[in-house]
Amino acid sequence: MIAALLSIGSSSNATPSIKKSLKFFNEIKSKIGVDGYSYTLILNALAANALESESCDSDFFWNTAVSLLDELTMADDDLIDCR
Amino acid sequence: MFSYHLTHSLPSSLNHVYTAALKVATATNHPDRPLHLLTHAQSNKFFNPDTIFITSLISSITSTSPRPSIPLVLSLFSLAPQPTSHTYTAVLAACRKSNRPDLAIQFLDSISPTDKELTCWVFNGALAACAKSSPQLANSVFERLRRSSAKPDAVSFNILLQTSPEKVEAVLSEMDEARVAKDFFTYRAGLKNRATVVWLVSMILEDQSLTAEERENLGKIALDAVCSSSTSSNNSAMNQTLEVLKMTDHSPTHHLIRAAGSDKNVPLAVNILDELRSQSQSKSSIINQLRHPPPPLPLSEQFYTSTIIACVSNDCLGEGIKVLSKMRSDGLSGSGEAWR
Repeated sequence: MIAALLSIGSSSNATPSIKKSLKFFNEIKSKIGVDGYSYTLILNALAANALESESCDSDFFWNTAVSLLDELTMADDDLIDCR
Repeated sequence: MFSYHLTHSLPSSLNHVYTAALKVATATNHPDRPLHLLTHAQSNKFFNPDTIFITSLISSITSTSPRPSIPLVLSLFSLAPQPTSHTYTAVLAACRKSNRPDLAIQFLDSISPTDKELTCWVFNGALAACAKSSPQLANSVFERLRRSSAKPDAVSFNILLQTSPEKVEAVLSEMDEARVAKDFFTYRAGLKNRATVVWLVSMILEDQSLTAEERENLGKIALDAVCSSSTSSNNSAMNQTLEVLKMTDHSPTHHLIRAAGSDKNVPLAVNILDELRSQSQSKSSIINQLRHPPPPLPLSEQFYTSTIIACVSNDCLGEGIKVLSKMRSDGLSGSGEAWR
C-alpha cells in the first residue's frame, strides 16, 4: 500500500504530486509507522520529481530530502534510547 | 517521541535510503550536496557504506562537480568493500570529467588483469577519459582491450573512431570481422573523415538497422562535411554532393547551392537544382522511400533564386536565364528577388 501511494509522486512531473506523496507518507507514518524502505521510496520519488522540475525548485527537493534524513537519524537515536 | 516502529537501522536498508538521497543530490545538481550526504550518513551509528552507495556517491560527485577532485574520488573508492565494474567506471568517468587521462591510465593499471569486473565497459570508461585530450593514450587502451578477454563492443570502436577518424576504413573492417554491429554513432564519428564521406554514405544507405530519422540526421552531417570541404570545383565534390542529396532534406541543400555559387562552381549549383527538381517531380527519392508515410516535398522558389544568384554572381547570365525559365515551367512566377 505504501509503495502504491508513494508511486504517485514519481509518476508525474508536477510538483504538487510529490507534495501529495509527502502528505501520504506523513499520514502513514503517524498512523501505522514507516520503515527504511518507505524512506527509500519517498526519496526516490523526490529525486524523480526533482529531475523533471524547474531548477528554482531545487532547494525544496534538497531541503525535504535532508529533513527526511534528519528525521531518520533522530528516530535511530530514539531507538537506541528505547533499548 | 516516535510512535512508529523502525526497521531501517539495518545497514543495508540505510544504504538504500542514502543511495536514494544521492539521487536527489544529483538531480538538484549542487556540488556540495553529495559530500553533505556522506557526512550525514557517517553521523549515523548504524551506517556502514556498501559498494552501491560508494559507486553512487562517486557518480553523484562527478555529475554535480564541474571538475571532480580525483584524490577525493580515489579515497572514496578505497571505501568500497567489493568494487564492481560500475565502481571502476564511475572513477574513470570522474577522470574523464576532470580531463585527467594520466590518472585514468594509472587507475586502469591498478586493476588486476584477472579481475572479472574488468569488463569492456571499464575499458570504454578509460577510452572515453583519454579520447579528447590524448588520442595516443586512447589507442594504447584500445590495444589493451584487444588483448584482454573483454572484447571491444560498438562503444569501444565508436570512441576509437572519434579519436582516429583517419582509420575509419580499418576500424569498420575490424568491426565487421568481430561481428560488432555499426550504429548511428559509428557513422557519425566516421563522417568526420571527409575523404571517406561517399563510401560511408553508401554504407549508411544500405544499413537497414538505422531508423529513417537517424539516416536523415547522418545525411545532414554528411552534407555539412561536403559543404565545408568544397574548396575547389571538381567532379569528386559534385559526386559527393549528389550522393548525399539522395538521403537528405531540401533545407541544407539550399545552403549547398550557395556554397557552390561561392566556389564559382555554377555547373554544380545547376546540377544540384536539377537533382532536386527530379526528386520533387518523381517523388521517388530515397528520403521519401524512407519516410512513413512519404510527405510531398514541394521545391521552394528559394532554390531557384539561390541558383540564379550563383549564376549571375559568377557572370553566367545565360545559365541564370535558363534556370529562370525552368522555374517558370515548374509553375513559379518568381518573386522580386529572382528577377532582380
